[in-house]
Amino acid sequence: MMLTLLLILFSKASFPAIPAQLECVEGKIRFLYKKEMHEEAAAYCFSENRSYFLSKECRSGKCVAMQKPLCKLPPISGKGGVGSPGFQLCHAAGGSAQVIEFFDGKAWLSMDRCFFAEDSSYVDTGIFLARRGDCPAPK
Amino acid sequence: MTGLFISLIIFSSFSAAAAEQSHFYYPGRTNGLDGVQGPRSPTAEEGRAQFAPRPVLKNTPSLSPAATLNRVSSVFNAINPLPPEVDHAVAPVFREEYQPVMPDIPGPERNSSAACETRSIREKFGEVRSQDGLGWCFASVAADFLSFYGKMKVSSFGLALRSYSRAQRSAPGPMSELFGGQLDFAINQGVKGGVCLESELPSNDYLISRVAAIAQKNGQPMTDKELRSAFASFLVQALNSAQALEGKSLQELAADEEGSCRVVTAIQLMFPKLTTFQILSAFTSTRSSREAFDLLVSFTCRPSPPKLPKNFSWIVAHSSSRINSKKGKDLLPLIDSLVTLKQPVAIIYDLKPFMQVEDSEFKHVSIVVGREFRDGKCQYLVRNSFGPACGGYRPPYNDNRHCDRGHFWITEEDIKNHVVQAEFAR
Repeated sequence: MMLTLLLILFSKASFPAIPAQLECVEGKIRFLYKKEMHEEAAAYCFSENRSYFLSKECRSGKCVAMQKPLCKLPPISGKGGVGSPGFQLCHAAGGSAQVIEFFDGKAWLSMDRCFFAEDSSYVDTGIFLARRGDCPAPK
Repeated sequence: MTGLFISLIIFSSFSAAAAEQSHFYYPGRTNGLDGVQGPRSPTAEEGRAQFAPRPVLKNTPSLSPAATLNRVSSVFNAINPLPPEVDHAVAPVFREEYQPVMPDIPGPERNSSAACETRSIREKFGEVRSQDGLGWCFASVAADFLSFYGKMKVSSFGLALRSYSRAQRSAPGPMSELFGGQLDFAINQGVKGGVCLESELPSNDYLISRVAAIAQKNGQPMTDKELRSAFASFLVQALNSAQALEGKSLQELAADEEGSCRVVTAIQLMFPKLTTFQILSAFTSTRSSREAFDLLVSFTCRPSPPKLPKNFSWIVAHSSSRINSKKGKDLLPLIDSLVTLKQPVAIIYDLKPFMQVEDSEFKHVSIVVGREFRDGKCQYLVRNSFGPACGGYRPPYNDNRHCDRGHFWITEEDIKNHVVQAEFAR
């Protein structure tokens, strides 16, 4: 399946949880649902090594996924908890954690994202977890 | 390299000490499988006699990695002589105190690229797995090992369910508390009981993805509360609520139509291809929800044993952390030797130094899949199971030099300081 990259932007993010250099595209994401792959168009950004991923509006920080308050949420603990820390935090914040794949112009790459229905914004669960890491240490 | 020194403390594969150390270990392990009366446990004296600590290898001059591994293996054979046909789940549990021969042993010195040859088996594993909303690091790692040696793509979801369903009934608490498990138990279940393939039972499909998809496609058909609840733990809920179906007849289930329907609907999220009849029959024909889930997995993919190399066996090595000042110091030579031989090795380690988590007690399991001389140090590549994102690691493990698509580089010091156990196939 070919994907046309309609727009490529290189932008500098100003948030510590997000790498400075990002490539932003009008691309496609897909995910498994009842054993069938569903595909949809989306605008997103990713880092050079494809280890950071976020919806386009989040690169400026002006999205629910980047503004959701995280510091007062319960501690993220492995003890008795379920899932990866990023998924746990996403759930606790009211987001929807999901395993997806995105197309970078050459290949489909898997990624976990934390999605917010309020504005359909999302960041990968790692960025979300890093935001929590920026919170002041509990007293 | 001045020399390789080996000191390993080996208890039995199901050491009670490990149960204390690691949260993904079942509590209260006894010698029965699924509550069935197992063989008589040996007395403490019998146990001590059979599993008496053997002398640990003395300091030795430089050995080749293969020779090192052979020497390590000989120690394992001596101390953990379980015959391969014995199911770990019914093997008696021993705990043996161990007195070290050498309390503080240096690891390999690798201060040059020549002494730290590049090795990588990363590509043989493909993309990292994502544990998703479930705490099954042990199942992800077990599935990776069985995939590696069996040359297939094993479903970690299927392996986790199989492990849970075959866990002992004597383990207290509902099934949700067993989220977290035991790597060697999962390996054993896969080897003996068979595995499903990812193509048959996709691990990334049955979890949160579909609920999110429903919400996106249909414009939030559920309320926020329902959605959050579903996202947070719908599988756990399904597992727990399934206990309501245990041991009931079809007539009894029909009498509580609404309750039964709710549970069946939850279970169908996990097994969307199964019919209501199949789900109900699984519960009415078994004694427990665990057995029922085992049956549901069988309905879905007909698990078959992976084709593993002849004499495949599983080794568990504990660090003598109570004695050594650094936890994984004695495990480093073993891990290094396995990497040199391009064999995967699972490490059980403290997660907090590497990840943005707040629980310092939490132990995690991942696989070492490579070695390289980087930034003036010999470093090891860890294949994690938290998906490809790197942002959740603590600095510096989250930057480009340390993290790439869910793999991260750790130093020898990291292994010495934070690894408490290593497991591998032989």
